[in-house]
Amino acid sequence: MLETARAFRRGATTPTRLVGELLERIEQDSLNAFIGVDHEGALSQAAYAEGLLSARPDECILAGIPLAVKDNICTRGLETTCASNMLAGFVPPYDAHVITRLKQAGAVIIGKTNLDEFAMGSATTSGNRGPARNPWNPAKSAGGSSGGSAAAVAAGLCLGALGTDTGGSIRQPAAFCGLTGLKPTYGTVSRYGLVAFASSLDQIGPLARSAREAALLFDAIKGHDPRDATSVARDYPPTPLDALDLRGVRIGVPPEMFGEGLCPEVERAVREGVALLGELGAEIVEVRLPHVHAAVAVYYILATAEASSNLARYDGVRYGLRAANPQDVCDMYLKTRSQGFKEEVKRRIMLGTYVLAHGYYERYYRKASQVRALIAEDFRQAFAACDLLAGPTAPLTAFELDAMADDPLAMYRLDIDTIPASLSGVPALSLPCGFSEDGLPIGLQLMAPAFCEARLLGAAITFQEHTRFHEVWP
Amino acid sequence: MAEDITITEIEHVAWLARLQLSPDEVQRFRRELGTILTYMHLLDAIDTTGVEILPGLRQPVPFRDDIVQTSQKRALALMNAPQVRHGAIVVPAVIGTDHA
Repeated sequence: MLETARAFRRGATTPTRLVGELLERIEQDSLNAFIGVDHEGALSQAAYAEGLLSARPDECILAGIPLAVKDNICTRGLETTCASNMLAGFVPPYDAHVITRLKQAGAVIIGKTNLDEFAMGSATTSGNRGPARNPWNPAKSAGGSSGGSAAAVAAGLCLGALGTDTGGSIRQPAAFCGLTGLKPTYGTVSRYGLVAFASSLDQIGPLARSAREAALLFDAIKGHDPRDATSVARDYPPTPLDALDLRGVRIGVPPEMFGEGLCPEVERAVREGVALLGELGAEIVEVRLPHVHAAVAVYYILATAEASSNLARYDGVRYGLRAANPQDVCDMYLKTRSQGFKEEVKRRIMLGTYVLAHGYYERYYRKASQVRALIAEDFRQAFAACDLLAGPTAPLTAFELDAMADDPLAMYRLDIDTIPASLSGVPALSLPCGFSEDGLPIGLQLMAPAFCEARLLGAAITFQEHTRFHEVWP
Repeated sequence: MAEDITITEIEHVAWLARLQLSPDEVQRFRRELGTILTYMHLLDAIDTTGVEILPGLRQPVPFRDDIVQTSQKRALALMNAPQVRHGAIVVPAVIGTDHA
């Protein structure tokens, strides 16, 4: 991305030429990374970027940079489907806040990327467009739910992408595809125009080839927006793109994140990554997160409860699918929802409706909300003893496309490492820290206190100045 | 012990969620929800006495001035509607149906 920005400025290539080349590559893509490609819009935005580059070459670092956007983020005039039959043909009449910001920066939105249906999944297999394949090994999953965005960036079909992260959906695909992916602090990036899944958790963030590039994208999309009531009004200074001096920085390693189910070669690479941070000056300390073993249970109660409420809007009335020949309005709701949603979404709506139902609310929803508060308190106490936390992003490397197809709970439990930061609202990123014996990338996760993305990204930049993992491509 | 969910419960929850499930789906969700909810019971072992819900994540609800603002144009709001007549969305009969 930075290299391309320089190439534009010295005239080695132009946005129009680059976009044309990428559109051709996307045509030949066999990874199923994209759901929709915007040929016309991309070329016209590239022409606009060329104007920006000649008028103000010192500004707008993203001018002409081709990006991809997960297909649950609304793009005016461009179909937005959430990989669901429910929204097939839905053309948003407005741009999401993040899209407006990227367009203002001169970036080129080249297309919309594949995902799990309504972002519900960890493998990009639950949608209506088939699985997104991993560029490192097409028999493996690109991760999920932002698997299309991760596959597109890793395969060089775009220079960066937006994903969304509810319980790890940016970080886990970033880890599986060898990218840097950031879930910002809850409230830092406006969700105006993001199709809601679980509103107390959803965040939009970047997937990129390096921490520096992730920082550039993050800076373009962050900031207060009154159209999202959870958007936090505060100062958002630009993120320094320099390495962070790690001397005196305390990095906490919670043993709870190195427990049962962690693949030995992932553990080895992550521990080596932490050791390198130590060699670069950081003080490595042990901290405890005593309640994170309950994080998956908490998450799959709260996220499904919120999803069951958020997805009640898909009733065939105002937009999206309407089932044919309903007898009456209620029959229309039933048929539309039963035909429009696929299995994983139905499972989560059922689970969420169950835990909110009369007689179960106290036992499940209230209890989970209380344990969430305990997990958030664990993080608060941990960050009193350290400046960053480090652990694995996922317990495994990319798995087979059909793995765990018949065992939803096993799939849910793989989110164990990413969910805690989601429940606590703190920022977290995944960066590549090694490869498995069969050549698949491994992700190191760093977490920081709320609104400390600069520290998080700075530490990642330092790590990447001393490693080459992020420079290896499939 | 696996959480035992009855078929009647699954059918009730499906109705609350406005989902029409096939007999196969009823059986499958009964089995899967049972397994998942059994796993959720690990929360029972955690003492939450006196724990307030999400104290750290609560933010004050933001208010704006009570001034009329422009909103989306009607044509745009209707552009994705499945059936439109005279600038309004058409739905099937609401009154006089069998559903409670």
